[in-house]
Amino acid sequence: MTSMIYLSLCKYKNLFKGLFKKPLFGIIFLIFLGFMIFKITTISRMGNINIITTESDKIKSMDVIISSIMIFIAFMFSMMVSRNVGMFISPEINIIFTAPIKKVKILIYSIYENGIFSLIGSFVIVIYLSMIITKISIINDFMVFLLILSTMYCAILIYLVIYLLSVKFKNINKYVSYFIYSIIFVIAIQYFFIFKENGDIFDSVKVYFESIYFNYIPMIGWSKFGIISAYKGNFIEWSIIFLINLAIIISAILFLIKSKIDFYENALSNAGEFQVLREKAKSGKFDINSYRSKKIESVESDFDDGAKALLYKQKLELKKTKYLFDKQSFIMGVVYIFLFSKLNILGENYSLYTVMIMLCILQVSISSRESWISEFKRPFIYLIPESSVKKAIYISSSKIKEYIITGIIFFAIIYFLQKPELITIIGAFLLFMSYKMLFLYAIFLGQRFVGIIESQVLTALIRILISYLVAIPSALGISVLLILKMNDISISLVGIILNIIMVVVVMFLSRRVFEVAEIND
Amino acid sequence: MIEVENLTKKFGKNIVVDNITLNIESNSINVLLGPNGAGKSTTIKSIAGLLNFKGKISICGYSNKSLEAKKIFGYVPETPFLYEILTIREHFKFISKAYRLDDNGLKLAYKYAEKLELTEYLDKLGRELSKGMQQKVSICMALMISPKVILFDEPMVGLDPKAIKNLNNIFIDLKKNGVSLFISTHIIDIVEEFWDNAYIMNKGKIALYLKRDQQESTKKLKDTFFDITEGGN
Repeated sequence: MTSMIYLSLCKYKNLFKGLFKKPLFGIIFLIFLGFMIFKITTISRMGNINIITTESDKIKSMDVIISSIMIFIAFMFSMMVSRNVGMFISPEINIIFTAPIKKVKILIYSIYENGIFSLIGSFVIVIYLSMIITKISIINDFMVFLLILSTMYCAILIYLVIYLLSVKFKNINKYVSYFIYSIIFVIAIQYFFIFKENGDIFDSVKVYFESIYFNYIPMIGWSKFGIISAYKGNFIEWSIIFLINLAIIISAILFLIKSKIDFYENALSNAGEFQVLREKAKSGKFDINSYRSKKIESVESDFDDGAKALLYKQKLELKKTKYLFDKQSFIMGVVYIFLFSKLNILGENYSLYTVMIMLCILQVSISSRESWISEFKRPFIYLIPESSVKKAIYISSSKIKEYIITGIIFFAIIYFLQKPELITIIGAFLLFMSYKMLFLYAIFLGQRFVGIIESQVLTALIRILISYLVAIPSALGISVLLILKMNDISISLVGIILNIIMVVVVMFLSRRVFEVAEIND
Repeated sequence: MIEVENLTKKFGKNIVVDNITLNIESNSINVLLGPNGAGKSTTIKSIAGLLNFKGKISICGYSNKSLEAKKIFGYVPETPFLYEILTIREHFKFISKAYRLDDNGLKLAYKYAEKLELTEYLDKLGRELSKGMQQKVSICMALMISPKVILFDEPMVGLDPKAIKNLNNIFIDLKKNGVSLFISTHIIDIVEEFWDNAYIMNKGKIALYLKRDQQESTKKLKDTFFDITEGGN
């Protein structure tokens, strides 16, 4: 086992060292970490403007948020099962499987490696919750953390059990999918009856997530119940749920350790398939988000001269793949709009900004994985004899067009749902677009100063961190105006001006992004 | 050293390796030749214990999937995947721990690293290495355990001419030290000088087993290969 511990220690030591190889990234990482710790330990105890308090009248909103997070975890779990993503990567198969290491030790290694991912995931969710749910003690936070961790770990371990069983029983993934569909069906039926009584489509969602029926849904429902109990400070209810999760974890670990199933061939096959998909994704033939091969239509097009040719190349690619917009992020955006339009986290008067802030947070997470970013790895782009700024503008043009189209649809829905004044919705739309632009150019800034880090997770993380940093001036400005209870137009105007200034600053700092390449791929 | 009896491997309904039997003797260099899709890699992976199969495979009398067997065979895979964030040195240390090797294991790894001109890259991460360098690391990792048997799956792919020459010398030295080598390769010219036994696979079967002393002195292995796989055309 010492060899596996050595392997893990080396991996994490080098990962941490890698963080600080690029000084800028190290500094940004430390600032972000410091901010998060400060946020969790102080601000959330003080109470501020963007609050769902744990007071009983507001606890209903918590049910919706936490239920949504639990459903998201369940969604990720069902994706893992349906995509059969496997447990091991190619180096583990080539190096560990052929070494004289017992299968049980390899499984234990997989169990704790996956545990680390659950740990990071739970930490991120607790931070996210601490930003919107405040006035709670650090003990509550810790209880919530433990419950989310145990839920995520349950999901991963159940996946491992299913994965192992699928070696013997080929159709098990299909049956698990049927089970998941049947739970979705039960949820739909329960919701339908509540809607029939209530009459209001949105209010029924709230009522359903608060109801005892939802609490009985395996994993999703009872974990939500446990987290709410933690926030309420009900230790006994929390303990019951935590113990149930713990029992599942122990049973799953015992099964995995005692199992004599030979999973090597399946692992080899999964890792091989994953490697093929990775290569296909690199060459643009596979969409890693939808997990489908891209269909390439036969389309012809002319190219314009100079840097503009880049825009025409992208247009041609979009036509060939019949790409309109990122459907996943669009659907998530629409869900956010419906969800947060009714939650009023900032209070009744600022419901529009609640939705906008949430859409922006969504945008930051999504922009780091958009497919156009692969352009940074194409050597010919650096070689085109045009100014770097021009190239950056043309490369981002088709994305900006997409943002405008989806933004108009989003704000049309918000207008329909909230019925604000026309000038207010236009102001909010422009503010939202200014954030989108800022986040887009923040990616260029990250590329300019940090380059391409081989780890995709780290690359995404650094892009997110830089996006947060460049948004600080407008976020502070808007917060001050919200506290001063200024009108909507002033809020939008100040936000837009600050964002435009930051866009100019960011573009200036990243003006040489396509002059200096560091491609090692 | 390696005994394979009636090995059959199917993927779905497709029979990739069809009831083959082979016996790798000690102290010999054995080559496994065949066109693409002949079943060479599947045979090597089955022997390495990475696939389930029908039949029996033993290494020095131990079942190929047993820990005892794993202690005495080395495996150089077709594609050398290394841990992206581990240095070459850390890869060697990991193998040294996993195989419970004494200090000589690491010394041997560094000796082979020097032979394959890796010494100055020992502190580079896996992801910073070219495919050829990764292949060299993979070879060092297989050799550092002082195996009695080594399975090579296309070991020359990605290597520069000098590295291929060095590797050939390593093959010959290993044989002198009593090690059995089982090499799957497409590059017949390179093994021409030192092979002892050749297995030519075609469509999942062993189409020909040839000992060097059975081969006509004027005929090259490559010609025999084409005679078998293309019917002499």
